Amino acid sequence: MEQQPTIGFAGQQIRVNLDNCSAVVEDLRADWLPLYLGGVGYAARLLYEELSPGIEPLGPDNKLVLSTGPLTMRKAPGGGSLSLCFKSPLTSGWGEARTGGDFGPVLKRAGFDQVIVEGRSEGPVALIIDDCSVELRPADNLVGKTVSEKREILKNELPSGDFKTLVIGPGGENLVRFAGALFDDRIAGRTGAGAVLGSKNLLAIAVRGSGAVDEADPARFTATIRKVNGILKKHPTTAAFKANGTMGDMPGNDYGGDWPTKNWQSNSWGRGTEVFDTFERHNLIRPYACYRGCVIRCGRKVHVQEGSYQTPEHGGGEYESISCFTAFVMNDNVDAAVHSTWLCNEYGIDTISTGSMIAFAMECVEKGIIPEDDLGDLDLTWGNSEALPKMVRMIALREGVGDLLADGVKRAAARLGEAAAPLAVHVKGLEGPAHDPRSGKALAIGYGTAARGMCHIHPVEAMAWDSGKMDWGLQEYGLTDPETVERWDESGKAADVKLIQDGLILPDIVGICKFFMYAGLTLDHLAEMITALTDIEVDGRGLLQVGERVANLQRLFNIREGFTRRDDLLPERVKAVPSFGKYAQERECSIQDYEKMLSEYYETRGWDPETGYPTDAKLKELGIAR
Amino acid sequence: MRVFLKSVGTIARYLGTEAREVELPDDATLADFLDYFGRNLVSEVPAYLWNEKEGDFRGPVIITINGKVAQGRGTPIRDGQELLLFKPVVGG
Repeated sequence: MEQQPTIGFAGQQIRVNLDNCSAVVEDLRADWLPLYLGGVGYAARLLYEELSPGIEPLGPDNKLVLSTGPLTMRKAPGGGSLSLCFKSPLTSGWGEARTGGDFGPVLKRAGFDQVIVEGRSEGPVALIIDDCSVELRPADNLVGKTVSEKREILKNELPSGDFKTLVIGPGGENLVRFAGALFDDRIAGRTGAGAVLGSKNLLAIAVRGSGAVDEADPARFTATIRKVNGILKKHPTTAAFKANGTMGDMPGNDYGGDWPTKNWQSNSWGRGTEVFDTFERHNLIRPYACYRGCVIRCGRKVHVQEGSYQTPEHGGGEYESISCFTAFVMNDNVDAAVHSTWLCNEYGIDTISTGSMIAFAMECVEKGIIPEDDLGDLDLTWGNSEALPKMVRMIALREGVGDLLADGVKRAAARLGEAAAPLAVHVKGLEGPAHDPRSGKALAIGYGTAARGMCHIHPVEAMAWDSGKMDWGLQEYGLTDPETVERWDESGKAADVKLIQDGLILPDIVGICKFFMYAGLTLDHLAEMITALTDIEVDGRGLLQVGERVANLQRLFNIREGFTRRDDLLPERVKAVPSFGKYAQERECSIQDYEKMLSEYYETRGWDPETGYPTDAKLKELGIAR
Repeated sequence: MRVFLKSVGTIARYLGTEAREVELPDDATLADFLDYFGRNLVSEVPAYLWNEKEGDFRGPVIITINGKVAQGRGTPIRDGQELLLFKPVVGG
């Protein structure tokens, strides 16, 4: 019997039109699957076709895709995952944000691989997907509520059962350009998914599902999963994630010059150990898993038990979030950092961008670019912990100086004038996270060329290779042994950066958590699982080609929006010798010839060496029509 | 008894990649190795890696014994086994 072309997938997508409050079920595009598989790949193909260049990201013409991949299912290693893809209101380019949790698997059990949201509703609405039934219902009672409040209301309104929810917070409703979408204790945080949903008046999505997908070769699929789980459970990185979560990297990153400090004036504060020890002793409750069945359990349940920053138990305490509310802003009060990042979640705004904006504001005040008179009684002195929760609220609610900051650092700096420009740390408009290319210079290219902007994890934290000595099993595909590489060398890394980008975009395409590739899951394992599940024959090299194809398509998306080589450049202070700290005299850690690194990378990619545009030959090789 | 200590990745920057012999009491456990490390080798690694108060590594330093992740201070160590120190990247 001939296999159906979408075996291993749910085979359907829902197109929700908020202009006329309709939801249409469509077949999944089977012809796209062998080339793009799913996740950010399928979404890139769809958005490149369906969005016109130049549309307003916060207008009705934008679309937001909730995208699963073939391995988005609880039984697959890392399968509790979901990507949101859209035109970003922060960068006006490719926007994507990923969340862990059960929403993705449950959406697929409801019978849908993708949800496409388009148009704009007149009034606030919530989308309810209950197996095959799809409903848009008024959501006036959710307006202005915090994320926890919205969840509670939905829980009381929905029939009993295992609904998983997406909600936006007041930040999304107020169109904060870095507002995210919240899923249980996780967030699809970066590049403004929450603002896009807020602009469409879609305040919540709830899904419940009871189905299952057919598997092409169930015995082989199960056997491969069993083999991979055996490797994962014994892998030391699994033990490391469970022991300390992502915060485990903080002391080492501070020591290694991988901890951006004081709005990137330095790459090391010298207080990382102190912050980590305090957090472990005082704020950490226990590890947790974001989706049922995860063997890694990198999540942290944290709290502040008492005092002026008292905070209930919640999922948080991530390396990025805590770093952006400590080292970025010179705050040593860990309770204030935990409390403020919890508030970010309650208001629905990205912790990295929010911490970055506060750091930027502190420096602007210090230098007189934002007059203190404009702040009222707000004290934005470096390290003032009391200012942090106030700033989170002001940004989310667009009050006072928060209104300026809510549009992101690129726009804020433009409004403040020339003096603010050198203080604005971003690439393509996305503020930089808590990893510094002055620790491992492969990250310089990573930051410049990641499709969504200055991002360390979409697709890859490249300094983990040349400084952290990780290889993700990619030496088999030609990756230079990281033990033979000098972290501060600039030349000769382009091919390696390309390879790790093409490799590490794959979890976002196949719909799993990337940390599984840190803990022993390889491309060969992914290929074996996909082939067994879907009947799409693919090996590791074939997957790398899919990764390269998607990276090029996302780049075309940006080029079509007017991005040029100029948008791949790094801010000067990210390249400079740190102005204080352990590496203050260390010229070798500064990025000395980034232009040369970038040109070398373009050539390796098969892009025009001047402009960075994928050549016709490269696009033909990858099967992409311009 | 004698065991062999190796390290990889970032820890190898400080301890080197060559195996070194470590003398431990008979019937030693991981606690004995940590005690040894704190007395004899801690000066070779940066302060952030060692929690003096706890007498243990700070953060995600994983010790494998003959390839198997050690499960706590009571994990027994046998003569001739290889102990490997590894600090993976766990950052997001």
